Amino acid sequence: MAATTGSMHDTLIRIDLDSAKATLWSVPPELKCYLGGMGYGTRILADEVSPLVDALGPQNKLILTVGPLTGTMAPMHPQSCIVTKSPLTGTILNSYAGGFLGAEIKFAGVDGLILEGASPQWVLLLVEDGRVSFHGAEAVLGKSTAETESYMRHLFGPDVRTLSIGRAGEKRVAMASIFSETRAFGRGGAGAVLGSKRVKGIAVRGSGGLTVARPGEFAALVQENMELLRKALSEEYNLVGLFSRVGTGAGLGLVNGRGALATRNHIYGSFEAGAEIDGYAYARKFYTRAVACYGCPVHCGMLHKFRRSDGSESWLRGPEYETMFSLGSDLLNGDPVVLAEANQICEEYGLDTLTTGVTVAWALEMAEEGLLKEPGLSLAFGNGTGILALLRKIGEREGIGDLLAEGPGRAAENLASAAGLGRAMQIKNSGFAAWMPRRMKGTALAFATSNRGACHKRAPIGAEITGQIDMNAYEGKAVLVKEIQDRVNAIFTLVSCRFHEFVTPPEVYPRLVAAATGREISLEEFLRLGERIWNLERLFNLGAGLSRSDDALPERCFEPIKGEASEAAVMDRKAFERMLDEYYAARGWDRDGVPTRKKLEELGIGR
Amino acid sequence: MRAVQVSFEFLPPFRQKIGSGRLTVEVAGGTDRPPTVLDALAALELRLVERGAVRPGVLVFLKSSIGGLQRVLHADRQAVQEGQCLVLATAMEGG
Repeated sequence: MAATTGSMHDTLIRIDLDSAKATLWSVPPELKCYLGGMGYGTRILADEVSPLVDALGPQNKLILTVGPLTGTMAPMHPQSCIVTKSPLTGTILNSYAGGFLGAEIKFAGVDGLILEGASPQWVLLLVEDGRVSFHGAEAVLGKSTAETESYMRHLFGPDVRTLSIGRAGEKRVAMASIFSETRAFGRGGAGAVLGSKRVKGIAVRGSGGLTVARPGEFAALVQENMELLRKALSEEYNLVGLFSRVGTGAGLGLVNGRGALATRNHIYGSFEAGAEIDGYAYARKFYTRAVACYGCPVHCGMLHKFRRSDGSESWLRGPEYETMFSLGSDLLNGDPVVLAEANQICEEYGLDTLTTGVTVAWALEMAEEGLLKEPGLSLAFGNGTGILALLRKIGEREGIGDLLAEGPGRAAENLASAAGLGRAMQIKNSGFAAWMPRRMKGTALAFATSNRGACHKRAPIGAEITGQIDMNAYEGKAVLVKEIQDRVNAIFTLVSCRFHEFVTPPEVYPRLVAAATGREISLEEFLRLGERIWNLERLFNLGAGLSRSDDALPERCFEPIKGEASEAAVMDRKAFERMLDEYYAARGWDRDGVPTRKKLEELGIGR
Repeated sequence: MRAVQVSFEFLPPFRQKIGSGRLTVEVAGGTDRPPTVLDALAALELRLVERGAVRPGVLVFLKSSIGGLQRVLHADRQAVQEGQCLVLATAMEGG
């Protein structure tokens, strides 16, 4: 299939799962200004799906897209983006995975897939150069993500790129993820949505090429970008360079040292055993190989060989820093083998390690207080056997696993304990990422206002944790958070790897887009696009019934953190509300967090 | 001016380089100025100072008496006192 002019194909595939039919859909002109990736997914969902639909019903859609730089020579643009309504949060969800799937989708001659309806029986889909075929999934029902993807390679050929769900997705666990080879669309329960559509896996093969609009200019920009990356990677203490050597766990020490590593369900801010489970510990203790995503010189993925509790040898990519918190410090688990095995169970079942770990932490605290118990299971912080068993129960929706499978907030509400709800560290039912909002005030605001709940990708984390800005201050954070949210949203229309932005100045992005697609866009327009998408998301969420009261922190955030390094950090309730008011004002929203008509007109979107 | 004793705490990867989590060094300033954080870094044998500035990616914090860490943004201008503790780390970001 010949590639079209410019790096986007201007075509998606609509897959009607009810009738097992697929049609090519030309991207309408009014959508092209969203560039691709998150922009496409958000606009399509906002236009075609009512915010009131059941996220696990057939009316929900799952939109998988790539961006204008995916599959090109531009470094660190391997990711693909899923947009859907989240069964975990009830909000719009955007979720990303690296690896090789994104590029393969591009080579298959399309910019994405729109999954509609629900299949009457479980299926595997093969997407091959713009065509879709439907295959029975009986052989892999109940199998792990790795087994499913291995089966697809056996069935369709070893050159396909794949994604799949595990038993958690089949059982519609609210925080079920979609896995893609060694990467995951982790957050928000996209795995449960795919499960509700009875799609066990998707394989993609593309034999097409890809062109860019202005090859000479594009190549020169790529060369410049590679020079920036090469320089960063060669600096001994550059963060991206450290990621390339020991993975994202390179920075755990700083977070721990600053009393911001949530420990024991966010009671403490530092973990004594932190050095036993950071990236350096894994590199030291286990045989390690680095793996990269498509077109990425950083290779931050660390494959470790370890021995499981049953004595068998196994490989794991990870754990990532975020998981070192959620299945490590937050559970008082300082055992790197237990942590690796816990991570692997989440991969097997297809579970988001973040929300799952946060839910487990809450459950352990409730068990300590006698509010939760499970026959035959010892539930205690630091008890590796109990933790591993509880993870499996969540994946199987068995016993108390069925309660916990609804996510931390809903589990707490269903437990009918007011104290319990305040200790579920979640926003909009999405578990906190590996940062302590009451320690880092700007990050607190970013978590609370995140459209997908507790999102760390759009927060001033780096500036706060490094002390570049005062993490304890409330002033100035509202405008900063808005800017970061808008900028990252824009970057996610390209589906850039987040780490690319750590090295690349923002003005590079519109230049790359212009050279790749032939579409001129200024930096201001590019950032404004991010703001437009943010507001579209907000409108969707408001339509789904969310309000200012959902832009809130759990009660524990208003108690001081224990531990010397955390300096008794606490969120002041009035100061938080003032920060939220300032944020809404900076966004041009009213006091209830509703975008004003003036703001929507300014952004060119209707109500 | 009189030299001072300053202690260091090392977070990874410095801990791995030094082979220890802590070290105390004697830090001298100039003839007419007190010792600075930059002088303290230079006193370590880790090549953390390059062309009169802290090497990129190296973060320096001053540890308070109650345990918190205050970032040192101007190592050449911040004086160090007898008995103070400096903490070395590298950056971190979310993503």
